[in-house]
Amino acid sequence: MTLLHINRLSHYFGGLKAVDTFNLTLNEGELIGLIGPNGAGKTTVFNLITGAYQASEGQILFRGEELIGKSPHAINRLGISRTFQTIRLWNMMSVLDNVKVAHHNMISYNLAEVFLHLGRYRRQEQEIEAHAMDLLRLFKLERYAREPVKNLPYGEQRRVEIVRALASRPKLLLLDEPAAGMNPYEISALLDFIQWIRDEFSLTICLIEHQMRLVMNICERITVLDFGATIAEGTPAEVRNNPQVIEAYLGEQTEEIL
Amino acid sequence: MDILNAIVGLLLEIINTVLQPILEQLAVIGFRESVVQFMLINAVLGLSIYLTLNTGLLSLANAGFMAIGAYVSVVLTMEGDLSFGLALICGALAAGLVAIPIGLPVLRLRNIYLAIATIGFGEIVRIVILNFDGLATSLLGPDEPYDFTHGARGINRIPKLTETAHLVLILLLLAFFMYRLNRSRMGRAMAAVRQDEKVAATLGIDVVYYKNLAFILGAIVAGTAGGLSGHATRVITPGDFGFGRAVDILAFAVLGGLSHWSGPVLGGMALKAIPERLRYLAEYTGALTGAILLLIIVYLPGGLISLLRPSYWREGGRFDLAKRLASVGMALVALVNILPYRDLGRSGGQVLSYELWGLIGLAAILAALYWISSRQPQPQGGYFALPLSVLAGALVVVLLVIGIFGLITDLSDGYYANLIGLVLVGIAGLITYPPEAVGTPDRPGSGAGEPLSRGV
Repeated sequence: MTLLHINRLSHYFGGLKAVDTFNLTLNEGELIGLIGPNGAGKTTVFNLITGAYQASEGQILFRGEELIGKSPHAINRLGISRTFQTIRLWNMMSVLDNVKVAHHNMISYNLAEVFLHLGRYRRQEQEIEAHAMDLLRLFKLERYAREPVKNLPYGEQRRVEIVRALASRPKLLLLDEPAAGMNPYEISALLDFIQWIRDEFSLTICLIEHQMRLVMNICERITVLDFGATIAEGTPAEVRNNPQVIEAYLGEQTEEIL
Repeated sequence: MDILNAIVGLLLEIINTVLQPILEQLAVIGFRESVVQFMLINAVLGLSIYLTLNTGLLSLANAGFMAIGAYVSVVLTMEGDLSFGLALICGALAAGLVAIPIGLPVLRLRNIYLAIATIGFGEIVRIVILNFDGLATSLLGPDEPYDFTHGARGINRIPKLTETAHLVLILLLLAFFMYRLNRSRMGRAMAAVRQDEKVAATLGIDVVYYKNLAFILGAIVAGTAGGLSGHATRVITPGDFGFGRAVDILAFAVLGGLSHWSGPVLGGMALKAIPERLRYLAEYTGALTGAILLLIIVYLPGGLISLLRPSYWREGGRFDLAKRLASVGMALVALVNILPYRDLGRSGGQVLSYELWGLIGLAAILAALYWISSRQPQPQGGYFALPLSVLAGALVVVLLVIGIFGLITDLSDGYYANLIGLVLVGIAGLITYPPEAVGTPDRPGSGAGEPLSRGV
């Protein structure tokens, strides 16, 4: 079943066409890779889906609902979460609080209840605390729960960012270069990790990545962008052998890289 | 309503019993009750600026909201014969109501642009109040000329209804509110918006809503402070709530720090207490207060509140700890000995003796050298290593002499502060022993202020 359908999406920065009639269809449970040289417009596509930018032209349908024109928090509420290319955690908060903030949509108490600790406040706070701790335990981060997030090692911060994205209970998870800054050993762990969270949380995942090993190994389909336009689409094997991709993206040393 | 009145009455009585002895003690060291009242009003204002700054809004509108709260509640008690409590609530709500249409367009701006727009708002409020009588008369007809705000002359002979117990009660309530707010989804969302609003938005937080909520809550708190200060002064004029006041309120947050809501509260109280303590310096009071602010920004970017954080003392190891102990001790010893407050008001402008100025100058030069050397990493046994340990040692000795001198001559009122200062300097000396290690380069700043918000 189609979860996300992007139809002829274009976006301009002034006179620059950052995304050019881009099409993408994501089916439920799929794991898709979005690749392309630097500046190809991959992150812009993510920003358009999550509402950080308002698209100039085209359609983004999430379970049949138009996303363009919706604000980012409303889009998150529909079930889309993302991580960022550079780690963007709220550094002055603890790990637990970072995860708790992402539970925002599951809470309905009001200011009076906060002040008087009435009714829903206690119950809902306990619920989200328990849920956040469960998530942290699942990712073996519970020992850091009260630690300021800036004190964590880089790899752990990356995982906290993914936990935080999962805490808002998304259907679709957008990962922007999850392997950035990781060594080969960590990348092979990440391979299993991404597949595991997809199955565990029954997610659909779309990821941007430069690490070919990661993309070729776990993605079921790959879309290649160059100058904002799709130049190839298909299974890893198809993309690997596509002459246009080789020319635009992988250059002359294709065989050596792959 | 009666039950509410009874509860408030009882609470005020309890506060009064606790408060009276404290006030008597404060009066002995030179803080009259009116000073304490304004310290508490500043504390309330500190909470209002915290609410906006903690959501990443560099807003200077608080003085304007304070003016609205002050004028509305004063007019209501004087012309409307409303009870003080009701008038206060009306003033606060009026400020909150004005904040709604202001916030919706203005809060789209960020950082310095928001500051400029809110300064504009403050000026508009001031000018509207200045011309309110004429404005109302011309709008509503000349039959019954309005005479509420009296233009630039302001409102005189305001009944002095604000009691210290009221202020303490309101501050306690607000502090309790802040405490609970920070442990709720609203408080967490506001902190998230401050630290990275784009990320907050993609994780389901309605950034516009929370910015407006913080702005309105800040306005309500500032309005309350306005009503309280209006009934504490007897006279209010539009000029009381101008640009200067807005910057003053911002300075509370700078001095106190923003990592906790008690920071601006502390900063607000200190910024009333310090000029009061320095009153005998007459026209130099402002300059010295400014210098203190400057020193805080350079040496303690996290504000006074960062001194209360255990992590601040833990980070940086024993040399940083020693430096801080020494600086706190020096400050105590210096304040007590150099700024004699015993003769407050009586002797007027007391001139410091030349010897004392000499010592201050020497201490300043030594401290500057010490600081420069600790900023630049020196190779082992480098140029600065030995002389600086000697200089630092000399500095400690000078301060010890001043402290001991103070202990002997000033037994009556400087005794404990001198003692504490000396003990701190002594501990610092013990920690930094052996002296070669004095030149150890500083660790990168701890507890430094984080940027208010990050642009997209």
